Amino acid sequence: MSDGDLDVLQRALERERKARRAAEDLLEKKSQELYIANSELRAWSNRLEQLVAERTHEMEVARDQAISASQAKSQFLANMSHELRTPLNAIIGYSEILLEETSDAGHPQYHADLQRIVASGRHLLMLISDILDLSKIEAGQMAVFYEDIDISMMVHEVVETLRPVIEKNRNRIDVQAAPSLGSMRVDITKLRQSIFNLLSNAAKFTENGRITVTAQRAVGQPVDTISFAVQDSGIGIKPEHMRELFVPFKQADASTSRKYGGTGLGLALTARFCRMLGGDISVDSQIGVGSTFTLRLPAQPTDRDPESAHPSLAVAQDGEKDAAQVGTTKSSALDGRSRDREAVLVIDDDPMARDMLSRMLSSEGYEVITADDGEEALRLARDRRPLAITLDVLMPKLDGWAVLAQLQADRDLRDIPVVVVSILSERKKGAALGATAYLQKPVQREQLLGALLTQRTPSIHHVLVVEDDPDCQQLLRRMLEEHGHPSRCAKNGREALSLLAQQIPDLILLDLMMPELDGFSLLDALKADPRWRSIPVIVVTARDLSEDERRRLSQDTEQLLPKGALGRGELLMALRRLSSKRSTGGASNSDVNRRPGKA
Amino acid sequence: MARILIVEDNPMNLDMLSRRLLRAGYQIVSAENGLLGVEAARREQPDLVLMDLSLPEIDGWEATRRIKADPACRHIPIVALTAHALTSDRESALAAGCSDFDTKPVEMARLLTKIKTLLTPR
Ligand SMILES: Nc1ncnc2c1ncn2[C@@H]1O[C@H](COP(=O)(O)OP(=O)(O)OP(=O)(O)O)[C@@H](O)[C@H]1O
Ligand SMILES: [Mg+2]
Repeated sequence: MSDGDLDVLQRALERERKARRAAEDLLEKKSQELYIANSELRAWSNRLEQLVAERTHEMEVARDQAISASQAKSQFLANMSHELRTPLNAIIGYSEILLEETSDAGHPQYHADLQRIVASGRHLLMLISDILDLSKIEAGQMAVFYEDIDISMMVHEVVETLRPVIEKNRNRIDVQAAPSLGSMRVDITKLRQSIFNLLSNAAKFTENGRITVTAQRAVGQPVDTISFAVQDSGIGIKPEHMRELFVPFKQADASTSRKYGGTGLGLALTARFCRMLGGDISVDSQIGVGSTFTLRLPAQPTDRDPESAHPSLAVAQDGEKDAAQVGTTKSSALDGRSRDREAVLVIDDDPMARDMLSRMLSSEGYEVITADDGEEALRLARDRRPLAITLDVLMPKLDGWAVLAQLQADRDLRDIPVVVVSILSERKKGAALGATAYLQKPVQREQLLGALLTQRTPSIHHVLVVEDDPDCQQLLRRMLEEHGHPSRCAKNGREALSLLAQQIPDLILLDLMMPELDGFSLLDALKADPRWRSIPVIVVTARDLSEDERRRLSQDTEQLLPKGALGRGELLMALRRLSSKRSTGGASNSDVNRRPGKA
Repeated sequence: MARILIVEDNPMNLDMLSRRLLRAGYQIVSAENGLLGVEAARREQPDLVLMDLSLPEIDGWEATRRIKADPACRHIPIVALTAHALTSDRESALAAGCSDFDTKPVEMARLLTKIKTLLTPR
């Protein structure tokens, strides 16, 4: 090796050494930077953790305060009502004694005045009880006490109590409640009060008219259904007021309280009582013609153990003890098919959040099913097909987004409305993943109920059911009513036409095979009339259709539902699809109403 | 002539009830707290007891249990009276051994019917 070669080698070596040193320096620098970045990150993460902890703590405090405030409120109301009742008790009692003693001693001049004192006292007492009842229901502390009662006797008792009020407005009353109706097992106080409220409304809003009270038994499985209908020929209720009837303190319009008095509590309480008893209430009314309110209740409580303490009471007392399963106020539904029509699935890993949501829901009469993780939630959703779901996002294992995605991917579950309830503010993500509403914690009761209510196919009010088979008619009607759609029925096309002439429905459910005028001919008639042309029609048929008929129906109708597969799910979905279509600009019948010439 | 024991701490309520029951033809004995109520039941052997539920000393539920635990008094029917119309009150009153339950302010006609039914030997 020559000197020159050595030189070259040495220089190369030197260069390499330099390069390595430079690389090492760089590495050193980088790793130092990394170290700094890392510790900064760690500091940030600590800070974040601390922030989260603080925020969580604040939220816990706020939540505890909210819970104890609400408990304090109901305790206050309970005490208050006791304090108010005691003096009222004396006022009523002594005026009654005076009334008895003065009429014995012959002082008729005091009679009327004393009677007014007694009546006003009893009225005040009733108002106090109503307010107390409502606050108890809202605090989840209302218990149900079942006993066997004679249906006919109870109805006649209520009618007798109210007879003076009914006759004051010169109304005639007709009672159809035969002793052969037999007995039912129910909380008599709540049922009596419900019928009392309906009948006193009928009496109040009707003059020189006719009021009919009808009790009926419908044989069914697993138990019979008892219905109580109170029909009047009074002032009627405007369609736009129908939905607010059951909201506490709401009256149809401000002039009502001026003209008729009252506080707007009667129907709110009635609806809640009714749901606690496993039943429902529906209204059918036409302005100027009259109103019919109908209660439907199971003849027996059908829960496994409905007579045990009220479950929501247990929740209220035990707090988070029952972590996993059911908290329900609803003793039952009418039959197996519609078992979960009011059930809401609450998914949240935090027992306190679960408890809060459950209470808000069950005080509204919803049945509540709870799940504390995503997998359990999906299983329950598949098993129970709830009416709606509330979904927390931050959960261990399967988080809320993943649950939502799986719900959306499942054909059977995709139509269940999901209200996301989270501390995160990711409304957009929620909407993109298919959530129907997004609420940020802490949730207000009104928000939650509002979000659930808007799920109820809001733009369809009146449905016309055209069906000749009475059983099928009944079934459709019930399913519609369960979802808040009052309906009218026609036995055939001809009857349908005469009903259509009176009122334009938002939807027609149509059977094809009927006597007199069949479904196809009715469709032709609808097409021929500009007022009726845009009414959506859903065909419900048991018949096998030819290719031709199918084509024709697909042009003229919204959807075809085979009767055999007719369940509330299908119908509900069809309704929901329809109403979302309408709210995004589909034809609306109110337009048609306003401009009858055009279509 | 049937004798009724009224256990009630509020003097006005006691006054009202006894006056109205006297007018209806009953004899009245009274006691103003739970303990005195139990004693009076033993001593007076009334045909029926009207028992307020919220009472000083021992409450109406406890007084009812004690009366029902005494073989000498067990047969006496007890009607619970309370100002709260809570169904839970009613349940627990029946559980304590009351034969019936009514709310205050009493509706005299209804209460008299209940009393009459309970006093009719079966
Ligand atoms: N049979 C009816 N006919 C017409 N309108 C009715 C009828 N029943 C109820 N309404 C309307 O619904 C509203 C709410 O009824 P609700 O019984 O809840 O309250 P209210 O009768 O006004 O007051 P309260 O029952 O507390 O004394 C009424 O104010 C009235 O506008
Ligand atoms: Mg009313």
